[in-house]
Amino acid sequence: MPPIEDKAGALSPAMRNLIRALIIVLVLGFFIGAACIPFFYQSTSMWYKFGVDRILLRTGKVIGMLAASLLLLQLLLAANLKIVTVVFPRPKLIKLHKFNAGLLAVLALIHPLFIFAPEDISTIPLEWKYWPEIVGAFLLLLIWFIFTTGRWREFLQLSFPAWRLFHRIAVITAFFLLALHVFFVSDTFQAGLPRYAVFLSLGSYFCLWLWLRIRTFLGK
Amino acid sequence: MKRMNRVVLVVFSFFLFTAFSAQAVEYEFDKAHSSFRFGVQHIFSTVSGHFEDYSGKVVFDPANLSDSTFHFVIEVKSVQTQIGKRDNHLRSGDFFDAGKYPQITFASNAVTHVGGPNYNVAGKLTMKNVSKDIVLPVVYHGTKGHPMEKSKNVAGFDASVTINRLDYHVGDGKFFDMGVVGKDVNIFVSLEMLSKK
Repeated sequence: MPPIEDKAGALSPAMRNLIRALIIVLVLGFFIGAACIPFFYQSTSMWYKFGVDRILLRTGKVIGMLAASLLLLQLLLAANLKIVTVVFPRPKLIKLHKFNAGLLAVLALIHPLFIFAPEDISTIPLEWKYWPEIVGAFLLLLIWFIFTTGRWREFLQLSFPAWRLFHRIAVITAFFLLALHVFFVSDTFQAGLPRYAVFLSLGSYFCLWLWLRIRTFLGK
Repeated sequence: MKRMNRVVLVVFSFFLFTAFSAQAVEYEFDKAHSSFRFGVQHIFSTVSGHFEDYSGKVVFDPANLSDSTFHFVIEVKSVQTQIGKRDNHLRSGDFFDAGKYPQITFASNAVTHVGGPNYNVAGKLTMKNVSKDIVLPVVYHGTKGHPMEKSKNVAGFDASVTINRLDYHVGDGKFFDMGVVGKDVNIFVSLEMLSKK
């Protein structure tokens, strides 16, 4: 792995603090906004749940939104963007990236447990109409695969270049699975603000990913 | 003596014929052209659904109703209303509790002719361990050689009945009290049954 350079010295302390505060506010706003969607834009499935079942279902949705947000944030942490690295030291960003990966894996695992807790999962047949949920199951497996191969890369005797190639392919695959899952699993995202917010978030992620690939290709 | 033999032969043939003609015919489902459907009110509109997976046995002969039986077994988890989440909800403890009560059964105990093509099939309908006597009014459309499968006969039946789902504990009544899901469920059974010629 190349040495990580701390670029924090390029700006005045006041400016650095301002940018840092802005980034933190934006990220926190992003997470809070995502977590609020199941409260302000409830899906029709929520109409028919009461008491504990409703709490479980809503909690599951909130956890899902947080997991999705974490997945998108991961690219920002690993992208080595000047505007970010100028105020946050890169070693800390990478450390946060690794911590988030674990958190994301745990949240992704808990999400379906809460969602299906009010249902009797043993009675749900494996049918084509449940494809968004099946996509979600594949996404969960992929997230855990990415997490375990990253966390225990040396134990698994994966070389860094081989792991990085796999990681990049797996991450963009996870992104597409996430997009499919989110847009089709719940009627919350069929129209209105939640749909536009998801479009904007996924679009921004994809543009950033594309730019990073171009940057890598050009060798910058 | 020869004349006597002829009389015996004719009488024997008559008994043989009536014995065979009185044998009620056992039918199997043509599942591509049979359905167990239902409709229930949701606030104002009617939500329709059906059960994909079912089995059973129909033994029917209009000339021998005492030996005729209708027996249906419906797999609850095969419920379909076109919306996966709604189907999950129907399978849950709020309605059918499919994990605990996986089947709905109907077993007839008497078939009577009402007039024309109409028959009443009395029997027990069991859902969620609750059995109730119901009468299923059945229209028998007749039996004929199957136009597409020469080795088989096809018989047609239609039946419809309305039941109160709360009698069978399909739901505890909260959705009915809220004015969301009606308690009366219209059941429609349409069958094309096949038998060997």
